[in-house]
Amino acid sequence: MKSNQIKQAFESVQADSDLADRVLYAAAGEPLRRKGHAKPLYVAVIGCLAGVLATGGVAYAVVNSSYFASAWGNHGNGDSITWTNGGSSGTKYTYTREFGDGIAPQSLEGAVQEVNLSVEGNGYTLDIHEMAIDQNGCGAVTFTLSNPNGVNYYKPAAEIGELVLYGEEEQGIGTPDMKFGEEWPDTRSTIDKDTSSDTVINGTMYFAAMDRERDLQHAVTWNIHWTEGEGESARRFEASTPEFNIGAYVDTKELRSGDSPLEISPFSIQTHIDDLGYEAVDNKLTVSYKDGSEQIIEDDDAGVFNLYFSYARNSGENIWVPTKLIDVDQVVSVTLEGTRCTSTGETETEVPFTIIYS
Amino acid sequence: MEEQAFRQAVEDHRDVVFRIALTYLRDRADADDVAQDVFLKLLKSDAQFESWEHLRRWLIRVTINECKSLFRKPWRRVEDIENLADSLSTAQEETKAVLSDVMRLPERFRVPIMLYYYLGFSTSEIAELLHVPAATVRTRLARGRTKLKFILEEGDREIQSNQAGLRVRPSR
Repeated sequence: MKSNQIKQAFESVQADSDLADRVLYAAAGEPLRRKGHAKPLYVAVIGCLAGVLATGGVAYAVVNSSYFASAWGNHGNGDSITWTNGGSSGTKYTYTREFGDGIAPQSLEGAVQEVNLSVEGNGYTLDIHEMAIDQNGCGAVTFTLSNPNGVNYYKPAAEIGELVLYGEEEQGIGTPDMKFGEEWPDTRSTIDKDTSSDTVINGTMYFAAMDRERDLQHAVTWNIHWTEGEGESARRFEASTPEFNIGAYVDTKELRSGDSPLEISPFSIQTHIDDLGYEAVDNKLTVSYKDGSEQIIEDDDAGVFNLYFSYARNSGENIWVPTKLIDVDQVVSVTLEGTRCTSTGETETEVPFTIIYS
Repeated sequence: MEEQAFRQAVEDHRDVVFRIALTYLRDRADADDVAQDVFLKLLKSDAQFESWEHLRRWLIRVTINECKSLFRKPWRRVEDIENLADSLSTAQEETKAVLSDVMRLPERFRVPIMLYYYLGFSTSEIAELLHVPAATVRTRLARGRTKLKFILEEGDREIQSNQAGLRVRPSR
């Protein structure tokens, strides 16, 4: 294959010519015309602060086991869930996700902060209950989303425990989101199957700040957005809770492998990109405890994904938010495994690597 | 950003943004959504761009981040590579075949190949964009080329299909 064939192939692909118009319409208040399957993006330049209900706003720490039972339990999924994705070639891949028991280690006493803020819009009420956050900028917040006329959510996602809503639909709102100041963290919301109904969704929003140095300087808001009207008269709105000032951060503990640091808390594990690179060269992450037990966070080959999400920040940090709380005081080491490609002249080989942080 | 400057930016860069998104996501509709989101961010951004190239690189960086974010969704549907080229292009059959073969590669190979052969980035620049060592980029380019050559010359598409990583990971 000649390189210009590849160039020609890509040049044969063109974006839609109305892209600028669609974006400008959206910025002017019309809903984005989405074609794919992504979570809708906020249009922050629009909106009205409608029906904000403030019942609190000052952070204080309390001992609260109900928070951990809700946020770090199984969400009504049982001990684990299993799902399958099928490829067009017919190959099927099975994944499992195990959940925690919702029992917090002693180190988390005093970590929970009462939020008690609400916001209303388009017939929905979002009540934010409690949150906990660590120094990695990661954590979880419990919430209730209700609408007496019914909550319109995406059922296939809910089957594996994730809450996804669509703001474009009539009587709908987008999946609630969160901001540190004007910056969005990465978030993923779950639905508690045991305690939710057609009109009341109890759930947890897991989050990881995109830039912890920057984002943790700011107060937090939670947001909903929706569309009113149809066609050319459709308008997009959003509403936010009052600001919440974070009162305390759960400490992280540094482990090391030579010069490479890893920062671990009950809610997250953070490594640094310089050690690894962004792409999926890593395929297994395991926490080892003093009693000899192991907590597998991710094992790609085995289809084990005991995490809510992971991603790489622009700053070069890798973040994992596990489904089970990590008992940091009992951790002996964290092991990261994967493969690297190496090249010597014309010879290329994939070399497994193992990094043990202790 | 003023509307006229914004429209010019979209006109100049929309195809690049869309092609990168498509390379990651292998789905025209999702790629279109990413392009919308990227240009919305541009519209909202207060960044000062020193040059046309500075803007282009900013858009590429944002596009890559948007794609990585969407790629993590556990409920994102599996791509149908067989129909992808037909949905995209009115190009000649040979060109469609090349595009399909590139798209059939795993992400770690097809993205560097796209950035290198289409956008003309150096391996060092690709390394910076993807947050991987430059040596890894060179290796992936070499391995990607080998796989493409194998696909075209040997015609063993079923083997490549199985190697192409068509599963959708629930994270990262």
